[in-house]
Amino acid sequence: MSDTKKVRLTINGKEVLSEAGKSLLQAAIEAGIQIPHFCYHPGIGIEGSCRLCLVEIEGVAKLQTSCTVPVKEGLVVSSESETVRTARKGVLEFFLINHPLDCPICDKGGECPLQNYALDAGQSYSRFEFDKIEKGKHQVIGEHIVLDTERCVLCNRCVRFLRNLTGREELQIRNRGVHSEIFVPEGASLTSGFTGNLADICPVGSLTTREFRFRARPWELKTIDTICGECSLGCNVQAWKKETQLLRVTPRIEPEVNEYWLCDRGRFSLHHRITPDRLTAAHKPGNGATLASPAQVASMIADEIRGVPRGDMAFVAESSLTNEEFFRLKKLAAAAGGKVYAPLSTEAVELARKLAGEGLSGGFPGKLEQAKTVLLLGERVEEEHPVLALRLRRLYHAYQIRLLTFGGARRGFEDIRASHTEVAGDPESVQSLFEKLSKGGRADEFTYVFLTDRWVDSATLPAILRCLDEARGAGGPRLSVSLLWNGANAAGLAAQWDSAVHPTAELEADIQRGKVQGVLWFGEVRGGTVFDEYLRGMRVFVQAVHRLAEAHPRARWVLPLESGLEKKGTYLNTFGRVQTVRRTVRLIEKGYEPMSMLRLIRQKLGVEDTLSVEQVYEELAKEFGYPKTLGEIPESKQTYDHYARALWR
Amino acid sequence: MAVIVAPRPGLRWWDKLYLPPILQGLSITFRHIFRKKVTMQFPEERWKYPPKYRGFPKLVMGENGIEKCVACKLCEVVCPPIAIAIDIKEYERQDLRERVPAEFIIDLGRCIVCGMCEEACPKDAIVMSDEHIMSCASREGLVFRKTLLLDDYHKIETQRT
Repeated sequence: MSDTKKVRLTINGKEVLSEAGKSLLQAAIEAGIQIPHFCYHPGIGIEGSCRLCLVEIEGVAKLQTSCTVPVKEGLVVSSESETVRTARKGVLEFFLINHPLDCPICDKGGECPLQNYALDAGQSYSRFEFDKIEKGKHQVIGEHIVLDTERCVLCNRCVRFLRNLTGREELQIRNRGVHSEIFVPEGASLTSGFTGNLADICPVGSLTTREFRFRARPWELKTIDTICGECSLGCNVQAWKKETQLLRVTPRIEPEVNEYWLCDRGRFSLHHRITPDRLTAAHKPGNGATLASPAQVASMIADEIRGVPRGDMAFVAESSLTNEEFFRLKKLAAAAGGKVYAPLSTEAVELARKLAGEGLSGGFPGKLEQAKTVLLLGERVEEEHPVLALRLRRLYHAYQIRLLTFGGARRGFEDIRASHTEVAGDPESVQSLFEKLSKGGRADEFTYVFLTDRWVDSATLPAILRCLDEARGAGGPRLSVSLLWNGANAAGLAAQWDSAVHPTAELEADIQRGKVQGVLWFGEVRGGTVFDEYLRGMRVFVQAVHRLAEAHPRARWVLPLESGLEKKGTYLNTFGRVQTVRRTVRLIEKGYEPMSMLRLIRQKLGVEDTLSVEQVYEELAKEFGYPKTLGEIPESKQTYDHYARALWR
Repeated sequence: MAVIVAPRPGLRWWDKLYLPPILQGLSITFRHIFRKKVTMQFPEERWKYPPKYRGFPKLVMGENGIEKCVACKLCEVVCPPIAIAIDIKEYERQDLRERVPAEFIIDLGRCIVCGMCEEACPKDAIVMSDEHIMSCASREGLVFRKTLLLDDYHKIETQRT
């Protein structure tokens, strides 16, 4: 789309520059002017039912809802005149008539827009003399959500979110007037996998999370910005800590990654990652005594590695390793003369390189809003990249994009049947589809293609590469192709792929040929696989896992492994965005975490390494063109709080 | 400066004895033996504390044998010396009460008896009691937990270390 027309208007005497098509409320928020509102949410859309955002427009007799009025050149708007203030007081008085006196027991207290609007713009007394309406209290709906119907202010955000962004109408409103209430319709339950967002968007304490229920007040908590480590999208999150305990995780707004959302798997991952049974120091099975120090453990492991013939040591990475950890692992492998194995396929890496090299890949840079057609190649996108599926659904509802999915029964998006078309899986069909897509259509339209990494194999790769060459040459609509990697930092591992790195698929063959006598294995070994059998005969078997129970019975050394929330470093998301990961809690004893152990083992093998995490990053930044230092990586500090944080904080 | 000589009354033989003023004073003391004493035998006797007397804070019991406190943490956040620490829990009988404190600790060594907690409480669950003595053999003994704060705690002095 061509640049949108700029519109100049005046709000509260201040000149504001906005874009045609935006509402007064959007323009005001962007200009930093606070106008109380409930039913509008930038990620959900406009409703106009709460009547809280009323403003006075010069020349217009009655007050207007700023969320529904589009900006117009020369408008003079006031959101702080006497009339507006009185109206706001009245609307708030109405909201508070039947609102229960639950603030002391309500989880939203301290971060509640209703509390803050009432204090700032409401009146300090109530004229209501009767008994308040009673409705259902603390009802558990779904795995993560508690509903308190009495507190609901009927902004409808939850209903709209579930219907338009997740495609399932799992909450509805019934009855009229004061008896209106949110309910779960017969036969439905909250299964969308995005229910945690309901607690974020609800402006009062009506929808809250079970995990955070009665845990703490927001003013007691400190926040740490980091990245969710559950999938390769790398959603930006804020971790909330009370002293040393991690209590909840909420999203940060990042238009290029997760917008306003988090999936339930990522949001609630802390509860199954940070558990009391985590391994916190190195462990030698069979040795009951406590180990002396990380340096001594490293020394013993290094001795064992030296016992393996040069070239026969395998270093197996997993996709949750940070860029810095993988860098150190490669260096360790070089010092030991061994090979590195990563859980990626050579074809996928090759495609990713080609896409990056041609400037075709980019995933989400804002332009996703300009997509006309989105082609999803691969299965389980909804399960493995939930927030991407959410964003695509929002686009479908807001802009009516054409969504084409390929795959078998598990390709998802069943609710968009009318629009999406199934595409058969053979390379020929895909090629003809690519051809159709790259011709016809305007040059300023975008066609976005997302392929899962498993879809790219030796059969499909040549077809895709041919299509890309032809599409570019045809001069049709602009094409963007992105690979959806599986695993938090699979993209980071792919970026550092070189001749020393091999696909884990080759490991089995190498072991069978007797070319592997020792392994340093990150992560669990899937039981029942061929590895399970072969690993029993290894001379050296060092494994890094989260819990002792996850270690292979034949592991001779078990090292502790950090979860994504405990790592310090960077992740590369599947769209090539490098993001800072911060340590939110320290569970592992100092010196035993992977970054430290890899360095110590390499040191004991004779190669000195004194680089800190920041310095390792700077090396990587030089090689890959990332922002020069950790501090320079751009990140969003924004959370959608409109008035949720009391202004005195 | 001129020297001024202060006139002193001449002492008679009566005055030089010094005994008569002593006897005069003792007679006043003797008269007091037969008067009503105003001394209060503290701590066994206490005066009637005025209704707004501000002693150390205590918790109030509510209906159904559950403390009135809902662990809203307003007293904790307003307390100037940060003497209060509260943990929340869900009450077993959600139909009677949703939220109670799992633990309610006031370090009476830190408490400055200002009464802000009583003012802040929306449930009248914490009030300033009549208790103003806090003697203890150790600082740890002054850290009072929920059960002690709910009780008539000046009566169980002997149980404190």
